[in-house]
Amino acid sequence: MLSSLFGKSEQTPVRLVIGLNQVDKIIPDGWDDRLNMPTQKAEKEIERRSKDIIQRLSRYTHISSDNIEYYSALKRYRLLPLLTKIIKNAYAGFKLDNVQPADPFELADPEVKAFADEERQKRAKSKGKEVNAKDRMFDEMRKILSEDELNLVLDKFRQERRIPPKVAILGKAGVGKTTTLNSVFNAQWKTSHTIVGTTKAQMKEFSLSSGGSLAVVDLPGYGRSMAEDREYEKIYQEMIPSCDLVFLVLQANTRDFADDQEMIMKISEWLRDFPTPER
Amino acid sequence: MLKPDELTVLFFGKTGVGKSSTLNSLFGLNWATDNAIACTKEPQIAYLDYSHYAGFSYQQVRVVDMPGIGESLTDDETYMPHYEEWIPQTHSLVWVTQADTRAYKRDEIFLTKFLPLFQTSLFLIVALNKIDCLGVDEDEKPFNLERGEPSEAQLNRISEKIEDVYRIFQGALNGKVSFEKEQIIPHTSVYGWGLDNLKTKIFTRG
Repeated sequence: MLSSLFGKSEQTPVRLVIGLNQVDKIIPDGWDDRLNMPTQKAEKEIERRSKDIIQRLSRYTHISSDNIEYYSALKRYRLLPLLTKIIKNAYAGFKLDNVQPADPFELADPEVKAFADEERQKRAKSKGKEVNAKDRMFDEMRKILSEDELNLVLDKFRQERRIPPKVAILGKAGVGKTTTLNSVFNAQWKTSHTIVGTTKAQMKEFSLSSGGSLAVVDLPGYGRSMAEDREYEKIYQEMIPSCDLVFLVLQANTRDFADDQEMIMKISEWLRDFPTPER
Repeated sequence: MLKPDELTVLFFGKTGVGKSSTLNSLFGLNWATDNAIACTKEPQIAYLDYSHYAGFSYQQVRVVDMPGIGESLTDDETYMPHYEEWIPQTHSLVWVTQADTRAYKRDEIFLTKFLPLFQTSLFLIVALNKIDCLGVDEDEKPFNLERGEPSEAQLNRISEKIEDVYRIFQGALNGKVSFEKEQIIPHTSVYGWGLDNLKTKIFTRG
């Protein structure tokens, strides 16, 4: 259990997290826009389908469900479980209290949002203190993690290094990398719907609310053409070894994972060659 | 190998691009589709009688749905013998791909693999599906569901999309068969827009 929390062994985290994005599009008409949540029926189907994909990927690539989480960046659905996996698998610890994903209730019906806000305020008052991002985050994590796991995560923050954690984000072209960054880190970068996406590595520095920063390396998307992939692979190979974590975004509402399968195998290899981030 | 009075139309594409759904909408077939599992594991064949069509030089149309590629590297290999059998018998190859992606590498890889199997007379059509899902910016209108038509923003993007697909496919074909931009047909198999155009292209082969 403990070792599974940090990958295969506590000394060397796997440094790879795979996010299955766009689960909201798995079932047509499966999204309740009022609550900004999947319908009950859709939620089961999303879970089932995601498990299928996770099983398939782990069969091909020797990675396990510890490294894969499903979510929807656009709907801000399951951002916390995703963030938890990111934290667990990163080499350097994240300042969890500093990372606050975008609020899913902002996208819900105004009435529902008002109700959620009210409930949050009530909870804040009953505790006699203001609800800050950290408390809210740990409250949510308590629901997902056992006490032991939570303590381990907390420990990890304490051991945190001075250097800002560096995350590389990668995925097939058009899979929702920018939307994911915006939702998970509550930022506002422009997404590209046109044929031109990110074509070189872009460094994005986040100032975190209580000091410190997070460095994100936004890598160009693969799978567009053979020529582009050959170029981009050089960039990946140059950037990935220095990262605390590689965050690979996959599209959950497709079945064509051959490109992704290839990429997972390559990333695993590069990371194996550099078991600790090359600074 | 090619029968003079029979037109063989082969449908091919990545898994999940909507091959079977396009086929069903085009020819009123009833082949299984599922957005979760790949249904087509073996080539499926339908014979359509076109003898009553005046001016159409073929008596019969043979439509073949090939298993989709890209699900996994190992699956792709197991389907190879099917492609080797069918592609040399094909008059028109309808290569279905989707508009709502920027990733066409798997198409490129397979096009390159299939190139030696192509007859020089082969007519290639790229059926650009899922126009309804073509991404627009937040302040732009999405697909018009009432009228079953792409929005203006989507229409503006289609030519850019065709340009991009054309560049990738033309590069892979390397002059082996003739391929013009007009052979890329945008459509949506779900809402029907563009299907007439696609059907005409398949039968007139030009």
